[in-house]
Amino acid sequence: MEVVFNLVWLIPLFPLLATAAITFVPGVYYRKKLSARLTIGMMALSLLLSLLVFFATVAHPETQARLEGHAAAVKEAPAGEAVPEAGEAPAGETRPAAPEAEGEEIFLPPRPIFEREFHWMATGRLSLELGFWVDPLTAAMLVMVSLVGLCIFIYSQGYMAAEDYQGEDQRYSRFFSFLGLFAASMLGLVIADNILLLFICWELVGLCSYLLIGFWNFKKSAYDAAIKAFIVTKIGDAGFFIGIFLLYIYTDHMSIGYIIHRPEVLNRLAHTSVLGIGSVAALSAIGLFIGTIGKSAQVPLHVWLPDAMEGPTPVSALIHAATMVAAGVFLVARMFPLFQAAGSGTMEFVAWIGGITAIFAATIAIAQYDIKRVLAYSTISQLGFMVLALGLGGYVAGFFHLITHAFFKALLFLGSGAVIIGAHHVQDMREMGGLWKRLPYTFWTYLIGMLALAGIFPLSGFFSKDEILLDAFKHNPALYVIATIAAFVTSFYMTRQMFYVFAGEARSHGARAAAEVPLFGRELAAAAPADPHGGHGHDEHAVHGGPLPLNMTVPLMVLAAGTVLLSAVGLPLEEGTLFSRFVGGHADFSLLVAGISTLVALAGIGAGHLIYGRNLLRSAHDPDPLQVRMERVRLGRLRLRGKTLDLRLSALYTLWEKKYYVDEIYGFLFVQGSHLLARVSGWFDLAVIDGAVNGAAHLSRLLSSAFGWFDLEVVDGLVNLIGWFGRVFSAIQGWVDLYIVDGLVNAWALATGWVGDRLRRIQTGLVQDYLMLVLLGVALIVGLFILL
Amino acid sequence: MTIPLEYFLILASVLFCLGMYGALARKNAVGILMGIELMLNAVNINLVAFWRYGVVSEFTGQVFALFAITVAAAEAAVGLALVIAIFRSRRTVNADEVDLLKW
Repeated sequence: MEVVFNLVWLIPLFPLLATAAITFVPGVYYRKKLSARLTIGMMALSLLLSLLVFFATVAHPETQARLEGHAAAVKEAPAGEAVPEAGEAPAGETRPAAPEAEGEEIFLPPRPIFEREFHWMATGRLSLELGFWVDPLTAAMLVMVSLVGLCIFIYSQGYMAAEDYQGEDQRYSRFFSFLGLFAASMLGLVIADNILLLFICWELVGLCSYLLIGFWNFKKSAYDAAIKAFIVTKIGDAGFFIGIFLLYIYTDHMSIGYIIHRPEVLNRLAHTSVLGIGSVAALSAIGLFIGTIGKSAQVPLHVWLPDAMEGPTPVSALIHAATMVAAGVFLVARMFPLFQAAGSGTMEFVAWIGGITAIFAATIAIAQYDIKRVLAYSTISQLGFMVLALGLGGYVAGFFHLITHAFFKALLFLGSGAVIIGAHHVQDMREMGGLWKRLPYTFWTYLIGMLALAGIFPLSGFFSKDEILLDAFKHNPALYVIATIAAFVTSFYMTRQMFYVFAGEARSHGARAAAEVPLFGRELAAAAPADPHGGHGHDEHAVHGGPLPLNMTVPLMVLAAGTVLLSAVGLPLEEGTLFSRFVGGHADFSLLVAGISTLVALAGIGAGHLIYGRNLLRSAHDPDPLQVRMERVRLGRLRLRGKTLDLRLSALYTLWEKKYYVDEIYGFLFVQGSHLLARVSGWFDLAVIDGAVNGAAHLSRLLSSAFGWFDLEVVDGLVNLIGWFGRVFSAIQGWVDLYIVDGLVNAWALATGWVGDRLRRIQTGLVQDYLMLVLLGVALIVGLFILL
Repeated sequence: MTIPLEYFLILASVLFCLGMYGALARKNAVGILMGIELMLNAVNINLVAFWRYGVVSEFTGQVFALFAITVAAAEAAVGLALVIAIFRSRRTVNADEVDLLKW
C-alpha cells in the first residue's frame, strides 16, 4: 500500500509527459494520431494508478473502520485517534479531543493516510514546502478526474477529427497537448497538500482553460471569450491570493493540514482579528471563497462560463463542467473547517451566493437556444447547488454532488457534442429535432444524463441533490424554497432541451443527415442512408462528415454507466451512506424531502411535456412555445408619453433570454466605466497637469533670463580671471608633461620594443625548435635540481 | 632468475632517447609522430616496471600505463589528422617547411 501511495506524484506526471512529448518532439507534434494516442495512453496510466490509490485508500484500516459504520465513534473522536500512526504523516501527535470553538462543533475531516513534503525553496526566514497527500477527498477526486478525463480524451479523438482546422492540422496535436497539461494540473491540484501548490495548479488549470477556450483563435468570438474567462477568473484569484497571504501571515504555514486538522489553530484564527475588520478565519475564508466565485462561476463572476462554450465541446465537458469549475467547490470542501471556524456569517454568505446562483442560472437556461449554452447555465446552477450545500454545512452533500455532477454533466456535454457533430455542426436547438432515431446511442445516454440532472429516483443525481435539499430543509427554509424552485426549473429546462433536440422532425439538413456507427455488426450502409454528398447536400450548410464514430459514442455509454452506478454509494444506510462514511462526514435521508423533490422533478418534466412535448416545432423559425404562452398573459399597462405599452409575461422570457442583461450591465459599468475613467484622466492630464507644467515652464524661462544676465556680467568676469591664471599654470604643466613625463614613457616603450624584438627570434614557427626548447628547459630544471 | 629493475630503466631511457632524437631530428612529420610514440612507450615501460618492482601493490602503474596508451592513440589520431590537413593545404609533410606558428 505504501508503495502505491509513494507513486501518487506519478499521476499528474503521466499526462504532463505526453504534453512535453507533443510540445518538444516534432516527430510527435506532426503526427496527429500518435499525439492523440500518446495522451490517451498516458491518461489511461494515470487512471490505473488513481484506481490503485483509491482502492488502497479504501483498504486502509482507518477507512475500513469508518466504512464499517463506526460513524458514531468517528464523530466523537474525529478520526486520528482511533488509528495507529498514519503512514508518513509528519504531524502524528494526538489532537485534543473536542474542538472548543464558539458553541458550534467544527467538523474535522479525516487525516490524510499518506503525506509527503519536500523543500521547495528557503530564503531568509521564509521557507516554502510543497507536498502531496492522499485523503478520502483526494482519492475520490483522483478517480473522478482521471476517469472522466480518459473518457473525454477518447471522445476528443473522434470529435476533433471532425473539426475544420483551416489548414493547420497540427492544431489537433496541440489540442491534445493542452488537454494533457490540463489533466496534469488538475490532478496536481487534487493531490496538493499545500495551499501554495494548490494555487499554482489552480492558476495552471486557469491557463489551460484560457488556451482551450481560445483554441479556435482565428474566430474573434473564441479569442474574446478566452480573454474574458481569463480576466474574470483572475478577479477571483486575487481574492484567493489575499486569503493565502492572510493565512500565511497568521500561521506561518502553507500546509493545509496544519490549518484544517488542528482545532487549536482554527480556534486561534477565529479569535485573532485583522485591523478590527474581522477574524482572520472569516477574512481568509471569504478571500478563498472569492476565488471559488471566480473559478466556479458563482453569481457576480459567472459571466465567463457561458462564453467559454466557444471552446471545443470536449473542453466544455472536461474543464467547464466536470473538473476545473468544480475546483472552486473542491477548494471550499478542502478548507471546510476554516469556513466553519469563520463563523455562521461567512457560511451564510457562501450559502446565499450558491442559492442565488442556482436559481439565477437555472432560469436563464430556460430561454437559451444554443445546446451548449443551456448546459453551461445548467452547470453554473449545479455549481450553485454545491456551494449552497457547503455553505449550509453539508460537506458530504456538496462533495457528493460534485462527483455525480461531474459524471452526468460530462455525459450531457459529450452528448451535446455528439449531437453537434452528428448533425453536422448545428448548435442551435431549433435546427435540430428528430434525432432520437438517428442517434440512438446518444439519445439514450443523454436521457440518462438528463434524468440524473433532473434528480429522478434511481440515478445518482437524485441522491446527491436530495442530500443538498435535505440540508437546506434542516437549516434554512428560505434557501430550501429557492433550491426546490431551482430543481423544478432544472428538470423543466432539461425536458425542453430533450424535446427540442431529439423529438419531432429534423429541422435542418445537418440534422436530417445525422447517423451513428452501430456498436455491433457492419450496417454502415444502412446506418447512413442520407448520403452526405447526394440529394440535398449542396444547400446553405454544406454537409460533410459521416456517421458518428464509435470512439465518440462509447465514452457516452461509459459515463452513463458511471452515472447509474454512482448511486450505489449514495444509497442511504442506517447511518449515512457509503460515500459519507468514506469521506468521513454524515449524511441523512428523509422520505419527506425526497418525496417532495421527486414530485418537483416530475412536475418539471410534466410541465416541459405540456409546453414543449405537445407543441413540437415545425421549422427552425418557429417561436419558442413557452414564449408564445407567456405572450398571452398581460400583466398590466404602462403609459409612457401618451403611448400605451402592454407589459406581458413574455418580458420575463426576454429577460431570461438576454441573461438578465448582466453582460450589458457589466459592459456599461466596467468597460464603459473604465473608458470614462480614461477620458477623465486624459482631460485631467491635459488641463491640469499639462497646465501646471506649462506654467512652471514660463516661470523658469523668466527666471533663466534674469540668471542669464547675471551669468554674463558677473560670473563670466570671475570665470575669465580664473581662466587666465589657469592658462599660465597649464603652460608650465604642459612643458613638464612633454619633456619629462613623455620622455620617461617613450624610453620605457623603446626598451620594451627592443627586448621584444630580440625575444621573438625564438619563435621560429617550427615544431621541432619548440621541442628542442622544451628539452633544454627540462635539462635546465633537472640540472638545477641536481646542483642544488 | 629475475631481471633486475635497472635493465628495464636502461631499456626505457634508451628508447626515450631514440624517440627524442627522432622527434627532434626527423624532417617528416610522420617520423616526428613516431618518435613521440616511442617516448610514450618508454614511459609506459617505466610505469609498468616500477609497478612490478615497487612496494605498492595497487594497480596504479598498470592503470596509468593503460591511460597513457589510450591517450597516445588519441594523440596519434589527432596528429595524423593534422598532418593530412597540412599536406592538403601545403603539399608537404616536412616539419621545417611549416612555420605557421611563427609570430
